[in-house]
Amino acid sequence: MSDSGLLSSILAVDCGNLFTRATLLDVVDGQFRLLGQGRVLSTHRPPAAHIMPGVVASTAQLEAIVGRDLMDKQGMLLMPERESGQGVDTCVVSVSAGAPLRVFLAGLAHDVSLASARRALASCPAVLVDTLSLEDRLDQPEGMIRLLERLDQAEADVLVLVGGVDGGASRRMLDTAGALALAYQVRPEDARPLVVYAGDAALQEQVRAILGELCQVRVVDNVRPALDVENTAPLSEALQRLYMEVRAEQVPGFETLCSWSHAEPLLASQAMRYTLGYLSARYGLKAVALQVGAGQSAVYWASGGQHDLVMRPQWGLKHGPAVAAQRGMDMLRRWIPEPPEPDEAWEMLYNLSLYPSAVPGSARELRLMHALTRELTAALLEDARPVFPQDKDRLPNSWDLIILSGAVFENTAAPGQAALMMLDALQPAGISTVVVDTLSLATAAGTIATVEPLAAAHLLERDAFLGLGTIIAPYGQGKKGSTALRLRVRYEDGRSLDVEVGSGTIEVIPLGLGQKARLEIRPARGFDLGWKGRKAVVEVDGGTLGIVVDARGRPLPLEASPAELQARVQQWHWQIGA
Amino acid sequence: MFYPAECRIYRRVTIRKERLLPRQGQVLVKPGELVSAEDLIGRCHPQPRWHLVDVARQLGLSPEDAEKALQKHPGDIVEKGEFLAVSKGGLALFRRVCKAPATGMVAAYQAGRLLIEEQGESQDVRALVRGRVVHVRPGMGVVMEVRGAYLRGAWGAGPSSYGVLKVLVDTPATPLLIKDIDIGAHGAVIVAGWCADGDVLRQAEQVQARGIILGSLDVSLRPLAEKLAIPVVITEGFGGIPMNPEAFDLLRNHHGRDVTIFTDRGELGPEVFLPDSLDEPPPPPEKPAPLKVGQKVRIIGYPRLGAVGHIVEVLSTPRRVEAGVLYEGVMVELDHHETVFVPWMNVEPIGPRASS
Repeated sequence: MSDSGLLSSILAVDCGNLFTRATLLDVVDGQFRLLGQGRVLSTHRPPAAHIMPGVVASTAQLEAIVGRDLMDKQGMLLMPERESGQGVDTCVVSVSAGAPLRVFLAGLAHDVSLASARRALASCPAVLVDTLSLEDRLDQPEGMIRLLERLDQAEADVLVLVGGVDGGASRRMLDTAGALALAYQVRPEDARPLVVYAGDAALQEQVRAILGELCQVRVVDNVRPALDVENTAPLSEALQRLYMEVRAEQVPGFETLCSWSHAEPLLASQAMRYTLGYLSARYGLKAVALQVGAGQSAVYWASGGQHDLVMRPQWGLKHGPAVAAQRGMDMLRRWIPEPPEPDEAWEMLYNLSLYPSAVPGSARELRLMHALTRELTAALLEDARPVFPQDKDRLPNSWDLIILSGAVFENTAAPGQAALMMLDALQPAGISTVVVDTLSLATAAGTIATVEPLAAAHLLERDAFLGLGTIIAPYGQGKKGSTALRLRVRYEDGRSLDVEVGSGTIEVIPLGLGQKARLEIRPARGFDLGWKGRKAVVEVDGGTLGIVVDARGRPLPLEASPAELQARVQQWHWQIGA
Repeated sequence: MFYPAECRIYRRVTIRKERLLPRQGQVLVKPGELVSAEDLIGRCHPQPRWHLVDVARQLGLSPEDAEKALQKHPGDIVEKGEFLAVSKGGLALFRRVCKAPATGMVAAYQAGRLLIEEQGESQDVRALVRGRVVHVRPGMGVVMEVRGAYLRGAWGAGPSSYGVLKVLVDTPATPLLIKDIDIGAHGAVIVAGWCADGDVLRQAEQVQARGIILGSLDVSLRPLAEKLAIPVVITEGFGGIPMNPEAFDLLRNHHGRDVTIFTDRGELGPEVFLPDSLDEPPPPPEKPAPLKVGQKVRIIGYPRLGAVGHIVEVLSTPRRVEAGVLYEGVMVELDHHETVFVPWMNVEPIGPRASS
């Protein structure tokens, strides 16, 4: 700790499903800087079945990297920092190691309150295990008996009860609560999922009276207070709190880890959301982050003071067979210039799912994993697009900042691979800066912000991201062989470069990391960058890739014979250097 | 300083295994008790059959009045045909009645509706593995301590099982063929390198083998393996991958001895226990430790999935793999003396105890 009593060294521990990371920040020349990160496989599963061996091992690895003792011989954290420079001033923790919450959804109409509840669930580490609606006829013996069986099969942690607009008709809602009460009475007490009620506010007390003696009931604001009003945040927040209570605390050793932390441990997705919200507010950006992990994936976005996310637990790289089954193996294979035969592809996907911590060693495996990333992200974006912020003054799906998070974006053979995966899945339009969250520091920053916002800001500005460069993606379509746009690139050293980009192609223009350039852009007829087709002058950042002009058109031209599409995909890989 | 994935192969280890009853019930053993695979450790409460009786509707009453008409209440035992409720008032001849649809217990009442629980068959639960009960969770199950060799597979399907181990092939790369499976496989858990023939799996089921342990399985046979009445365990993955030599050697050394397969851990993979009767307790599984020169490891990633070797160098700088990506890792001398670079995430230790 500094003489002024302010924090100087901060350890951020993130316990994920696959990896446990320990990240150390300290003040260097008046700024918080990243000193190092230790990363080991998480140990909450058998045989260790305790989170702490992984936490201690990642911290020990960090000690070796930074050459500084952070723990004593018993593996306890040295806190606060000693005069000798050993130890740390504070420690913060984020967690996503627990299994997702299993949620049983009960309500009335599929397209009204249940639809809103599903959207609330989408921002939580939760899986929907069953849905009960009016169609299940709980007033009939068969429907009721079936409910008993379904509750048995669901093994739910939480039952979310929704339905009715505030002050609306009450009978059906109360009948559903009554049916649940009947079913709960015959279940052992420890097998009754906690109830979160997010229905008609006028019925809160009656629902409590019906179910309150049988199980714990938590009441939050109605997800659908009126037919044309949706209010998902209270339910979403309640489920996130429950995740920390029910799931994180089930992770063996979580309590010990909490004793390391100076602040309430944070859900990793919450930390990432804070980071995106901060970046958007601080710099006035419309930002999106694609996060692809082994066990789950998520899309975060922030704009105009709002920030939200859509996540899918059990929809990550280790769920390749499920993704291929849902999207279709041909949908995956279309992204690979020389695709494996379907049998070989299934074999590889299954084997990848058996060893989620292993990294692709062969080029065929890497290509398949990249194809999988495109499809699982595309599916996630289908969930997210209806709730993305809309801005009449901007092109559809245009973002100022795109963050790519996850080892699949980090561990590529060339930066073009990460960029092309993003371009194919997200299909952004307009001008965007693209960065890779190389060490999952965006999550660490969100956690650190809870104790030292300045440290989080310094981390994000200096160390968290590796810039890939700037994407210029005109909206529209053009004829093959025609020009999509013309560019004049003026470099900082006075050089300039004129580039004409053909419709249907990708062009990469060199601009190194840390460099800037001024671009004069003239879109051709049929293409727009947000200025109604007019010429514009912008300043852009370089990166490991440079400036990428994606003139393939929006939406991407993917309708073609398999052979034609394969040739097209191969061209795109060559053009971007993937 | 790289911390690899957990060890899956132990020649001697003490493992604590949780054996939960499928439903709540009664635990029949006490802490400290030694049990064999076939011993009963618990009995589940019967799976009930439910009957819903809409008393209010049958009697034409409001839920409040229906409650007053009840003659049986939650907790009461009823015989089939016995009156559950009778409407009050009027001539006895014209009173409406509501009868029990089955013999059982009145389990619950809510808003005019009764639930009758009809008892089903109770279910015995066996230990499936030889070991000592170290902890009892009343009504739920037990934790057992098992000593011996242990192997965790990559994938498994089917029920948990036990039997006598029979290694049917000479090398870990030899496939399982239909000619290998005769009546001698009855009651046995059979071991071979890999399998690409569905008829072989069906034959094993037909002769009532107790399980199949393979290095790999053709991916097209996955759905069949999931439907079999016996467990199938693969140690490496899908395809035509030989069993890793360490696992094969371990299994061959236990030929003719008791083996237990547990498939109850979902995506964590099936477990194979080879209990021994040594009095001296083996150590528990190792804690995570950095990879070291000389350590025996198994490769868990393409293109050498399942290969085994020794670490000859822990590299301080990343290297590029065939895929073109830079990774930190180690140099591994494979058993046939080829030395290859392997990213540290793609190796799994075979602890010193495994080879002792």
